[in-house]
Amino acid sequence: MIDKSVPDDFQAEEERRRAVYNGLINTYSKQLFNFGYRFCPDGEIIKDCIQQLFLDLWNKNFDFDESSNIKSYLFRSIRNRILREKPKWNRNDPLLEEYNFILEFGIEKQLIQNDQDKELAGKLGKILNALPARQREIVYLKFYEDMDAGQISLIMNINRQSVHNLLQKAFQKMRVEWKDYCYLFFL
Amino acid sequence: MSKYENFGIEDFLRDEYFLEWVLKPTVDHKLFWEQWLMDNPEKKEELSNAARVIRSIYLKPLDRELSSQELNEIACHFISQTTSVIELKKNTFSRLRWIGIAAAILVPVMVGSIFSGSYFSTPEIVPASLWIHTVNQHNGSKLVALSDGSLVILKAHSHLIYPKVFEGGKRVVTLRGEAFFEVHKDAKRPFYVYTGPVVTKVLGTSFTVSSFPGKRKFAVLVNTGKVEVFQRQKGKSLEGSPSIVLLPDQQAVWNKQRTGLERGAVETSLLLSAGTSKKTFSFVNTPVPVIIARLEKAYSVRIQYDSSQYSLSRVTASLSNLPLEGKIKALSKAVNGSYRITDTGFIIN
Repeated sequence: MIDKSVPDDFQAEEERRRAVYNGLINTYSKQLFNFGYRFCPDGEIIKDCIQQLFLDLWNKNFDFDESSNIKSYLFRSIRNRILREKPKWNRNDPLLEEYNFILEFGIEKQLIQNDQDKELAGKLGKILNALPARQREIVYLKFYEDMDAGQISLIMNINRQSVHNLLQKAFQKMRVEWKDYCYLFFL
Repeated sequence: MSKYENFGIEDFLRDEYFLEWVLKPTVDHKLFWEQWLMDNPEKKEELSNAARVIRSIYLKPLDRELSSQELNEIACHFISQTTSVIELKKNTFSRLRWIGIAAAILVPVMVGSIFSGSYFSTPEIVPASLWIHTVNQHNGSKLVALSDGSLVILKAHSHLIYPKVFEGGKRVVTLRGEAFFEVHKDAKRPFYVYTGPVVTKVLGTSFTVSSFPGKRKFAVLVNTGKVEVFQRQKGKSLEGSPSIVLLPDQQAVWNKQRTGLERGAVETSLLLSAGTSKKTFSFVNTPVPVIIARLEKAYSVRIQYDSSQYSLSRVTASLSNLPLEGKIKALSKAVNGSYRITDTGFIIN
């Protein structure tokens, strides 16, 4: 007896594929939004980018099974897409060094008791907030998205040595700027 | 002597290795810093002050995030864009009836926003929540219970995609990585595991599938029952594709260099296979810790229990014919306790 409610093999395959993508959308969209918004704080643009990203992958017959690091691949793709599509930029140089990356730190004052530590926390926060965009991005990926050097190099499209150098630059900047900030400048 | 001996609190705050230890420590970090603290106990207060300062800094949330409704819109739009009209006509009424109810709620919200196209008179909008994509990013196992009573033990760094409720004449899941399946017997609804170009079909049995992208080996190891492994070919239906049937203690390996599925015997008899299972899980006056250790090893799951309460208890039972949960249930009963399923295994108390 033929079970009419079951599509034949090819439809089953496409349905299965669609279910896979559905699962990906369900799992990663919020994270992709959270990351993408930092480059371009426009909800509609970012939603559009996410939508297009998955449709393009589908149309390219991209196979989820074959990709070895889904999250990094998706992060890289959305990043490229946003940086490429933002109209402000020179289209001939879509991956320009200069872009914005929203990352703002605050201080939980209740967690610190003494004044000296309060001052240090304020100083650290201010310096982190003043890091250039690329360094902010790498701090975010490393400490808040838990990415390792390999994943970061894939996402930011730089080689592993550059990942290391960029992090070093961030810490170097922190050390240099530290001396410039004195007691009067913190909130 | 490392540089850290001369560090003041401000230096610690700007040191990458120290920050990593406070924020995302690995085993190496813990080993290093705990040892360093033991060697330099006078620095303890300075270190904990530094850690406290670091922890007091938090990342301010963005002024906006993706709402669940927006997520659903993206998912629905995706489905509508990738479903062809022809497919809709082939659906039976029973399916449409269910979908019709869901659509009635969804459509008033969707119309006018991102949807275009004229075929929304019979929309096949499947809510994103119908399919579950579960990922095990850790090194232990993760237990997944399926709607038909089947159990999946998802191994490290693996993904499983499955529907919340199995519908229709087939049970289909997609796997990337490795998992052990205990499939509830249902001859009317064969169970399929899709892993790239290879599909494993069973009626009711237990087996392990291992398919990691990038690694050349693909393997299906059969513990009990019978399993059929297909090699999907473009343009051919599944039943018409080449396949091999595997029996317990056999495995199929797919070498991506060549084009075939190869059958081979498993080197050492699997702990869970029909042959050894009886021996492995027949207990006569066996101490409970021994039974639990054996279960943990055979299934790669964590079983927590109060060792002070049960370490001296002994059990006589034959558990080999039971599925994993059945074994745990029987064991719990034997010690007058109860059990609970967790993410990574079971708790008996």
